[in-house]
Amino acid sequence: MKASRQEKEKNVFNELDSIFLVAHQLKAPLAKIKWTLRMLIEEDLGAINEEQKEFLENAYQASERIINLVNDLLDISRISKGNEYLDLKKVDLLDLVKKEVDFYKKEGEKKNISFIFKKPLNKEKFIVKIDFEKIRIVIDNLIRNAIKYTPKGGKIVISLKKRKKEIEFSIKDNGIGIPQDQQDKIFRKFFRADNGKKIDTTGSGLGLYIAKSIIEAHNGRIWFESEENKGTTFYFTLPIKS
Amino acid sequence: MKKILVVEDDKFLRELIMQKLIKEGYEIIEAKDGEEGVGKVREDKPDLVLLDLILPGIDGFEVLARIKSNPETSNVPVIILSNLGQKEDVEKALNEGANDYLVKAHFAPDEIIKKVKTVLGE
Repeated sequence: MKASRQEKEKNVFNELDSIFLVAHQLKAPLAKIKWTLRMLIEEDLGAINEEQKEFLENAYQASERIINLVNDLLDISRISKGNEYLDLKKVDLLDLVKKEVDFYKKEGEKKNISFIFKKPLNKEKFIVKIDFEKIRIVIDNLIRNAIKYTPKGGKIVISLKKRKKEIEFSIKDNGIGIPQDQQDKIFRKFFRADNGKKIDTTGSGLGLYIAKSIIEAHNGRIWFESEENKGTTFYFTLPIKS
Repeated sequence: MKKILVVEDDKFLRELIMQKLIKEGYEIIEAKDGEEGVGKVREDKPDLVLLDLILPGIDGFEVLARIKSNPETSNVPVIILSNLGQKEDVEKALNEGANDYLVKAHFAPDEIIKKVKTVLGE
């Protein structure tokens, strides 16, 4: 007997709920593993030799990788639960971006990275109908990448533009950029450019895949411009419903 | 020597972080649940509290509220150490007076020490 569309949706929701719950539960034991490995490496639990340190360091990196994957699982289960189901609400995007910039400014300060938010001079609002949590995941992801791949003393410029039918968000960094021959793979699941992998060995390569998924579910577009060693600018648009 | 209260119900994690704190030269007080935590903040007047959110009995948010609403203890800085990482939880804790919010899976003990030192102005 064919399951009705409602039944199918309900099953998907339940599955995604389970994924979310399990992913959430994984974080506690992962924290224990991470803490123990780290303290062993730092010799807080007794002296160890260089060889032991190397093995433990490997295990620690592996645990970091798992934690990143779990975080992405959490994100995916939240977004998939909904690319059929978006919790759409009217939001002032300017407000959301401002809050995100304030939050990440501190992260940037650690690397002496300056954050500039170019908002329009007039008091116009940037009202869009979006799934707040999911768009926040996208912005978080783009900002975190910009910080990650921009060296100390760098500059990140975020801007919001309003057009007749859409709002455009952009984030420009002067970081390591994306090699030309790898640009067409950037949005693929698990893909990480070689120069990015050198800087961060534990990323999952799912962030941009998730971001694209969310933006397209909102009928927006996401793209980038990049030149190796010069920097990258990521853009996305969200439609303004009339 | 600065005094730090650790409120954490998981014995293993509590002992790990306490070991690290002792190594860094802090005096340690421990509490296994929220009620005990609130009591010890009042009695022992620590210089900082490391507070888990998921606790048996009253939860970390309740402990935070009680610490901050008592004029005798409201000045004690609190760093949340939690496995919950949702933005709503972080915002709620910061709005209710926590100085920082660290997700255990994202911060190893040595990184927590750095945050402790920052809050204590060391």
